[in-house]
Amino acid sequence: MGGEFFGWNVILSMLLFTLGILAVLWQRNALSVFMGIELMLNAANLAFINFAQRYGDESGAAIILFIVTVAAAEAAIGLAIFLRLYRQAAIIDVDKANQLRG
Amino acid sequence: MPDINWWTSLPIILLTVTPLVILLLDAIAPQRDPIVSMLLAVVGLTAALFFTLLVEGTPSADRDAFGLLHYDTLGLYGAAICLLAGILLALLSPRTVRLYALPPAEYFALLVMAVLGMVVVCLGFELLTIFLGVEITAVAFYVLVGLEGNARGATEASLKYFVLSSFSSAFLIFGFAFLYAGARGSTMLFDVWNGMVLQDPPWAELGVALAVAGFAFKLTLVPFHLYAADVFEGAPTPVAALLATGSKVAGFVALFHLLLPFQRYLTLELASMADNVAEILAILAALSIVVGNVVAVLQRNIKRMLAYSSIAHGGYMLIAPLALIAGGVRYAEVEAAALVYLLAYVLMSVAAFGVALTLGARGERAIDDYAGLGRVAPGLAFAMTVALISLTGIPLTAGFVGKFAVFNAGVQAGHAWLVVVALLGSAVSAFYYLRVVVYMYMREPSAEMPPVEGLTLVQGLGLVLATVPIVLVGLWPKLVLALLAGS
Repeated sequence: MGGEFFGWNVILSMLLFTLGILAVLWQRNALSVFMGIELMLNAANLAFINFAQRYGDESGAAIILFIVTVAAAEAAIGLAIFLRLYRQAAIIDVDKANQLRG
Repeated sequence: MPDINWWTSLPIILLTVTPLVILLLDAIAPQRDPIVSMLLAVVGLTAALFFTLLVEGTPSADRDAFGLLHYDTLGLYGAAICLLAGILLALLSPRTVRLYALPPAEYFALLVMAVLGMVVVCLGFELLTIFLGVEITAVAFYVLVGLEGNARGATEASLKYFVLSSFSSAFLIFGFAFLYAGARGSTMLFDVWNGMVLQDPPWAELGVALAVAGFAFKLTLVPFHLYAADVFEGAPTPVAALLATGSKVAGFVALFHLLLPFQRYLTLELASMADNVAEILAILAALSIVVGNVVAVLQRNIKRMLAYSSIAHGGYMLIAPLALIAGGVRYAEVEAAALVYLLAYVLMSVAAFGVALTLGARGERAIDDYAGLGRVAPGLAFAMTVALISLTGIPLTAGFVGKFAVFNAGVQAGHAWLVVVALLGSAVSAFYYLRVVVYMYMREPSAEMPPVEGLTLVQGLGLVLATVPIVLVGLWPKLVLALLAGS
């Protein structure tokens, strides 16, 4: 494995991605879980922009716009779901949403 | 910008326009009854199916759209199967929409959008296109799953699906970032395949692992299955059926496309990486078959039972790409086996969910509620019996043909142990599938059960279109196999 491919940017994006996974797995508050997912998506953004620059390909930069758009669409619906669960059952904990046997 | 081939773009355009038309019509003349929206959705989906199949006749070089979509045999028929699932479930939906007072226009518009995403995933030959297809489907499903606004179960199912689906999408796109790097800055699938073969820079393997994890969620493979039963129970039944069928077919096709370079005889350089991938897939498949079937035995709720059975079927499906990686079978043979299995799986799942939702609130709950159905509603009981026998994989049904084709490919490729696990799993599955049949024909109907409503014409059509092909394909498997071999 050539050392030149292990740029700090890649390591940073992997670190962010891992932090995102940990947030999703450990946090119980739905909003914190969602922030973890956003962190993972942004880690992917960082990886894309890094590789786009390294290989001189603009499409990697364009992809980021799409990922940001997707994240915004997910946020809109996700927050609506959280809000409705809070109104219906005053729950914001993902663990306490356990009416369905799971 | 490549020339735009309108014929190959037409299915996508139709599927984009149909939801807009449904929503616009609702804005002009508010829809209280689901029939008009349903008809529009069915017309749009059927037209898209027609034009998708029409591409079959064009030479391979002209089968691109915008350079981003490509109609290979697997993608084309995979998309057609997703569209078929969409059409059948749209036909079966009106009763659920009325029963749970779902907003009709929104329901059918989102249904078509979800199918649009699946078709894009099946046909996508570019990483971003595949990801956007996955996301279109996912976002439509977040809303569809929770559309029954007043029920807490629906909101909870929606929350669980949202958290786990966006979690898996993050894995998918992070994996795609490394595949993009492996392809030296290209997102086209052909370059990505080259990147996997060259492995210089060595990012492709990490990318493949992350993407497989992302797709495993769409296929509800163990250990990525945790959401399935809860989501299926809380979601409106036709939505659960579309999740079990279309979503799974699309994920399977995209995974298959991604793993194509690992075919043994194509690339000797990839042998060690192919072995790793095959090992991971074999473990996922075996776990899904064992866990899915064993847990399904314990379920008393019909939707949860079908959820676990669909997990097991995801495991059976994986034998096809495994056979491809292990080699020893021709590509066309594996492709045909996979497609026949997908078609059979979609038909029988739609039929089973279709009967459950036709019985209304009664059929969507406990298995006990099916007691004596053979006497109360013989037609429905017969359709359910055909679906369940086919899911078990008993001869003379499509389910048998599909399983036989896939297992045969698995044995030829030297994955005999996995096929043995799958056969044992099928034996276990006979217990919980046939238990429902026993309840329907050998038990007295309980007195306090509400009577079964009569079938509407549209729903009857949907059920007939799902059940009759199960028997037809079972009796004359050469029909579909010849169709595929001729392409």
